[in-house]
Amino acid sequence: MHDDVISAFLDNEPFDPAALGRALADPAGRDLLLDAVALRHLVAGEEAGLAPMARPRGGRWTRAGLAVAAALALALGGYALGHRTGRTDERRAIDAAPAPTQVIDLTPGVQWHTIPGGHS
Amino acid sequence: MADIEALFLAHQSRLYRYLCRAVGHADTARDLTQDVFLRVTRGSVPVAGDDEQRAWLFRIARNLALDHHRHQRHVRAHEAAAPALDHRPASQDVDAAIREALAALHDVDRDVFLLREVGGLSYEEIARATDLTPDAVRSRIHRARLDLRDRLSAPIQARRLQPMRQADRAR
Repeated sequence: MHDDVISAFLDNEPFDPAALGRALADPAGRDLLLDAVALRHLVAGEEAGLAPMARPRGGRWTRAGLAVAAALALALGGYALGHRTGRTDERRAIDAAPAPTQVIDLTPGVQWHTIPGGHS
Repeated sequence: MADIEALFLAHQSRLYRYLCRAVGHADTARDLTQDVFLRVTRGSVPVAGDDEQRAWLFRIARNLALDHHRHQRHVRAHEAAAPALDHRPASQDVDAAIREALAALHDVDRDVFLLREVGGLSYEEIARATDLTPDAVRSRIHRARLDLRDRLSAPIQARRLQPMRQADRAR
């Protein structure tokens, strides 16, 4: 057997390099190393769905925090939307001519001239 | 209080994962992780280096897991008598196999193995958390690995066909 030098190497613990060399010179030793790494992956839980837990303390605070965040997001979103809409309207007002308030038809043949002091 | 909270937050993920494997149930692990925090806030953090504080945290977690096991022995016996599920997804089969293999280990071997592989503790830290010597820890971890290698040969071989990260990722 390869003693526990492979385990020590795997665990970042002090080990005898010569002993590790001898262990890894043997195919069985290399096989043990790879198996141990695969075992580590399995047990560490990534494949088994051991999802990291949420902040464990104060579930109510978490929910309250989410509610506050949602309210802030709504408020900021509404503000941003309103701001953007306002800017759009403003630009539209600059780009487009205003609608006429009075329409004067041009009648051919009519003599137009200015009357001093006012108009009729 | 801030120091205690910071200490706990720094290790809560590993504590939870360790407890998941130690008790075999995510919800229970979540509860026990919260219990660790309660115990931590009730006590006083030992004035020591990071390693000793980490060992202290995991010692609390380990004790809680042991308490849980004492209270759940009859429940586990009842569950063992329940009919096996035939149509579980493969990932659940593997997880169940891991749970069974871990459960079959000697209690102390399982603890030191999980403290190393999931908790990421050094042999010295594990020795502090379990009242063993570092040499005993080293020997028990190696024995647990060999035992689990035998019990989980199929999932291990399957896992070896997939890409792996650096060997010491648990640190």
